[in-house]
Amino acid sequence: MDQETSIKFSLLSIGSLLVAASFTWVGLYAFQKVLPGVVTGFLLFVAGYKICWYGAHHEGSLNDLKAVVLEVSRESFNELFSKPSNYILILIGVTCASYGTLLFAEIIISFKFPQAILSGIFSSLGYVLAHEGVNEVPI
Amino acid sequence: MNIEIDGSPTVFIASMFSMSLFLALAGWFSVSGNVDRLFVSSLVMWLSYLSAHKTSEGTFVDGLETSEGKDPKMTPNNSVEYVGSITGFAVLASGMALGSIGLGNEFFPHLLLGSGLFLTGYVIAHISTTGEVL
Repeated sequence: MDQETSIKFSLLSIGSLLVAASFTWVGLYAFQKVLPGVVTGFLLFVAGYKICWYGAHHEGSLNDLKAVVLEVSRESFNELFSKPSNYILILIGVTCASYGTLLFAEIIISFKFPQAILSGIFSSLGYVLAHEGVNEVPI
Repeated sequence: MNIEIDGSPTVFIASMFSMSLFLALAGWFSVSGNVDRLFVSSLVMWLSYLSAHKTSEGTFVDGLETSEGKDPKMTPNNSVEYVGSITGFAVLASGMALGSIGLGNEFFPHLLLGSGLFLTGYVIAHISTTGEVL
């Protein structure tokens, strides 16, 4: 296996394990009604997905990967100060979506109509806010 | 609208079936709180997604255009695509409803049918809004 293929394979494997861990985390904490646990799970999913993304689209050597990671980290760090609103939106969005997921777990156990409506509202609102924060478009 | 699949349709359909089965299992083990089985189901579900995405689009996950946002494809352009998106979301939502009823009643066939409907709705809505299967 050449270096490019082994980097792709490693990143996809690490990312996939993180994604699986994030689903496990969200699934367990949603039914135990622990909001910070669900929020952590969703953030773990974002990290795992991003690592898979780098794996799927990586081209070149380990040094090329290092350069890309450094560049992205620098840009994200700068954006933290130049455009903090994006990060605030992501945090609020993920928290809303997590609360929606927690309500969804509750209605699976015992169905209550108002909670079903609230679950839908919080989940979609959370998705739109977080998507706006990440991509600067709502959907 | 022109829908094309990059790889083998058989592999794509097999991956979608596998994703739907392991999504249902992940839901099942979330409720019972079985960590090991939940982790394995989640992993197989995600690997099935990667396989389905690779087969239909040629890459494991979406490319630069969606990662960097501002994707001009992400809107329905005509009435057929609008109807498709709304139908897709309706099928997706009914899958969630049926799945959660199955999960609540501990009846696996309803949960499995629900997860299948959910993914079918997702694909219909995705094709209608982006022109791509996944």
